Amino acid sequence: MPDDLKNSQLRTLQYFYVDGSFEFGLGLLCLILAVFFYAETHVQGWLSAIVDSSLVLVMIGGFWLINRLIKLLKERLTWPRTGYITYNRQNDRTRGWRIALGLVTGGLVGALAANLATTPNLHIAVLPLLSGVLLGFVMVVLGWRTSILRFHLLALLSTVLGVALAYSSIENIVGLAIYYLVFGLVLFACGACVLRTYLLKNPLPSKERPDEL
Amino acid sequence: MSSDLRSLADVNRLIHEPSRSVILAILGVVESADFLYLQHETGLTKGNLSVHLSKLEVAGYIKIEKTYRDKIPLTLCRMTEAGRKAFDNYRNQLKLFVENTKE
Repeated sequence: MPDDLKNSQLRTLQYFYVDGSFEFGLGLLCLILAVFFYAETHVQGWLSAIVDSSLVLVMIGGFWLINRLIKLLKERLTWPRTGYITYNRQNDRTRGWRIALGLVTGGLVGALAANLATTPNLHIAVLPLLSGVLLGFVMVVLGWRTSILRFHLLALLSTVLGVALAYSSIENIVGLAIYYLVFGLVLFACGACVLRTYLLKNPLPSKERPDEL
Repeated sequence: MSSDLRSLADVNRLIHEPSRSVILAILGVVESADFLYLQHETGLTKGNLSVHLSKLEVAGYIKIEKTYRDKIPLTLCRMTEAGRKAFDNYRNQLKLFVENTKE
């Protein structure tokens, strides 16, 4: 029985990732970034300055879009099949610490990337390497927190892709565009497999809602 | 009766029922869960789940809120502070009993 209780709690914590909507959302964000970096290599003059400075807007817009996409998928596919859950919100202090940690880490990685990317005698493309390792690390943390194996596999794939692109004599920004394109497509494929399994396991129940209290 | 056995005898009978302990274990890790999710996770019939939820609500361990999402009725259950304390206490009692008994 204690094992049943533990498994029930674990399944409840994993429920957010049960339908692959997270992978679809993150995959979409990666594809948006791939288009952004591809555009960066092809625009020149004043347009280039605008594209360069719009990365923050692209990220904010991307996060808004993936939130919408995940909510839409869950509303249409998941909640009518296996139910609805809201998770505990972090308190303001924890959220503040996390945001601060994220900003400091982002700033340090950004500064390191800018420094390494302009180092003259470096023969590897540092930006795809850093992206691959960083996103890989995020996936490892996610896998560790949720005990979901596929996140560890995605972490491995992200790191291998980043390292491969770093040593492939491709220019930094082109490497980034390729990294986000490939990893975005991998995330989409992974999300599609997870969603297919979920839909096969959980057919839509009859129209009548089971709320009989 | 030894103190170990007494600690087991004093265990909260309302929570000790397996279905209700699963319901509380689930509600303990989320803010709220709806009736369909609890039914899916516990494997209980609608009627049985309704009875268990009602008992937990009467004891003040959970709060049931009836609402709508996109015109579809939604029954949301959430654990109260009293429920959290009772469940923690129940877990501690069981842990104590297991620790004090030989295999």
